[in-house]
Amino acid sequence: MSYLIDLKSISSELILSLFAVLILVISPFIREEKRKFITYFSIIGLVGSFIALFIQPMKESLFWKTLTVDRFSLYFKALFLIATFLVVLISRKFFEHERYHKAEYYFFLLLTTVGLMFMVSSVDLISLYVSFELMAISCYVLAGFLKRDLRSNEAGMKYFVLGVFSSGVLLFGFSFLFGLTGETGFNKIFQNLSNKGTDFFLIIAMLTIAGALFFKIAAVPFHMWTPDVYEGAPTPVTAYLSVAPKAACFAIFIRLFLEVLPMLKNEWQTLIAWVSLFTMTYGNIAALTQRSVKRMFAYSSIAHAGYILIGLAAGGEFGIWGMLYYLLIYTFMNIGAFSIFIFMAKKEHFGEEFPDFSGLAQRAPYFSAIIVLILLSLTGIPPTGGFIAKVYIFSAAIKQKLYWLAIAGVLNSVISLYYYFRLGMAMYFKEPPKDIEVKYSPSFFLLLAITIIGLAILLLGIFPHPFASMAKISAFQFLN
Amino acid sequence: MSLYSGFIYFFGILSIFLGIMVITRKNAIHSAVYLIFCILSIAGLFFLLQAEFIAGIQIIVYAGGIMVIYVFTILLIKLEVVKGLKRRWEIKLITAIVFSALSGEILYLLLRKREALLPEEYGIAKGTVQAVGSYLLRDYLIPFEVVSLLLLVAMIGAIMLSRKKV
Amino acid sequence: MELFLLFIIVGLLTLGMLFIGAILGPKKISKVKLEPFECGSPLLQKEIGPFSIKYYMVALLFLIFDIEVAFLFPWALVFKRIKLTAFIVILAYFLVLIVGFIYAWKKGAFEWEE
Repeated sequence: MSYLIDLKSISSELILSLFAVLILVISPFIREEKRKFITYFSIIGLVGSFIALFIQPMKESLFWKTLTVDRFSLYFKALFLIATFLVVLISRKFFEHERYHKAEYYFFLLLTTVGLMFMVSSVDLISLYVSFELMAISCYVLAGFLKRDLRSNEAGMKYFVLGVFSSGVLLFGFSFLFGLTGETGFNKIFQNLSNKGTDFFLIIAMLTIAGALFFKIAAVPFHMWTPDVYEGAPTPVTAYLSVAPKAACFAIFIRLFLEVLPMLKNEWQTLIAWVSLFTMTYGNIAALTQRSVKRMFAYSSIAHAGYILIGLAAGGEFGIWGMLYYLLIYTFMNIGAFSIFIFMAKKEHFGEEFPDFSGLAQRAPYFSAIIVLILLSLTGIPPTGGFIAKVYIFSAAIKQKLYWLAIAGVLNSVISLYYYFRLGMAMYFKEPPKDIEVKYSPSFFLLLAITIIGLAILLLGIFPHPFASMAKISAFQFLN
Repeated sequence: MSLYSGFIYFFGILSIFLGIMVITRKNAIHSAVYLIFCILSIAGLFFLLQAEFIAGIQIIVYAGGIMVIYVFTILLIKLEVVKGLKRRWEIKLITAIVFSALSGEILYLLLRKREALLPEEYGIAKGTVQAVGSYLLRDYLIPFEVVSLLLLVAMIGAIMLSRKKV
Repeated sequence: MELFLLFIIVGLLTLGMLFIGAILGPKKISKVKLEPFECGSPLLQKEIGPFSIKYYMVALLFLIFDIEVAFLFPWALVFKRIKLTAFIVILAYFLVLIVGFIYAWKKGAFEWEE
């Protein structure tokens, strides 16, 4: 019965899934007006789960070596919980405005987070795949959640069809790993493979697994779904999709490639360096010409996936924990970037085009200042966290003598300056249009979320040291 | 040629034949019926490979459950719309690539003959229902519980998205 | 071995009977015979018409419960060996799924939407 003790180590996941299931049970029994209660309820669950992260004991191997609770996974779990918390804060206003505020939304959101938390804890192919699917299926439903909105339907359908295909490809890669070794545990696969030496099928396994993960992090050439899905999905869901599943897939990249497939290091390093180059260049150039701000941010999130991949390609001392730090700041700034649309309520839906933002600074100075802070951080200009993160990543590339990649990264940041500041220009230097359709309408939760985001961006930019050392400790096992 | 390999060849050839019938039928319902028999003959192959649990799942879930959904989908769409569609060359190209990759892989494995292909040669029969059970309830206990959450999400998602009023 | 022989003999016998029947039997084709059989009553429609989406929902729920039940077989076979563990595991598994069942019931997923 040793597994009962192991339950203590996954108590944060247990708490969160308990709250998700409870939300589902009580949802049919409460009336429409009482829906607000569910928001508080899920916030309590998230906070409880966050506290449990610090109390629960760490353990190398749990449940017959299917899970592990190490600092690396705890770092990511904390990141997911913060992301989910911010998304819950910005969700209520959005869904009330769309007149579709449902308890089930919080159920899916919390269970996606549970899936992500199990994903980063997995050290076994089967538990990894099952939790990956839990995350993926909840995400499909979330993307198509506004079923009366055609754009959301399209987003859900596209994401579902392409996502299922990518899950299949991932499973295909796993089956190669299993077929070559007869094992499912990461440790055993590694031992078995390092005795055998490289194999043609091992490279195929690496390529298929990388392909499926590239799909989820929206890297070129598997990025086609991103703009449509990010534009069509409900805005809080877009903010969530662009942050949490991406971070989890980066974690899987690190764990699988550094723990299981280090013997292919030369191969995957080259692959990832090239993919990262194409991803950031494509994302930035495509973002230049967008009319819709939401679509522009979708392309910008593709570009950011490219920057983060530089860290993986470089590896070494700075690379891996640079990625962890980047993902932390990326969580804040990208949720902030997508949450700005929820402030801009129209009669139907929300303002998402450039003209909707013109002259906003006169009407909402505080809000505009925080948008500018987010934009500065996305570009990577001091004194924001985005700057520090980019410094870590690019210096990792220089240390590994990947000069071309570092130069490409810097050039891309310069390109991104142009389109980010198109939005800033519109807010500060353009007159608001005569017939204003868009109303600036904040709510308490929205202001709370955006204030937290602004503070976090400044804090990570001015005092990076404690957070950087936290990232360093979390990535310790991968630095050698 | 022993009786055992004779049965393997029988089910293998039968399933290939039925698979070809599935993709060449004009009437979609006929394809579906052939697909059921194709799945059953693949279940036979799994039985012979001593993967009893997967064989049972093939019959219960695939032939029983998923085929129901296939048939309903066929009945749901207007077949006249589908008849007019031309097959595009991109799809043919993708099919050709996937087909040649998979068959190339199998040929490569057959020619290499380095590793054992049958479970018996692996030393243990891993696929009996009992063996699967002890794996599920011990080694893969957590994935098994996560599967219950996965099924819950699938069920709620289906209800949410397909009901007019929730 | 005897079992396999039995299968082969029975299979050959069946095929042979079918073949003989096809050759020797009389064939009289009429319009009524070639029509789809619908319990003897006259046909309501010629072809398969469009189908209500409600059936699809039933099929999906059926499939999900089908998969749930499929996991009971391996559980039942190892129950004798690891009683308490097996019981706890399956209890947690079914508690989660019963929640889904309650939800589906409360939301009227088993009712016919008019």
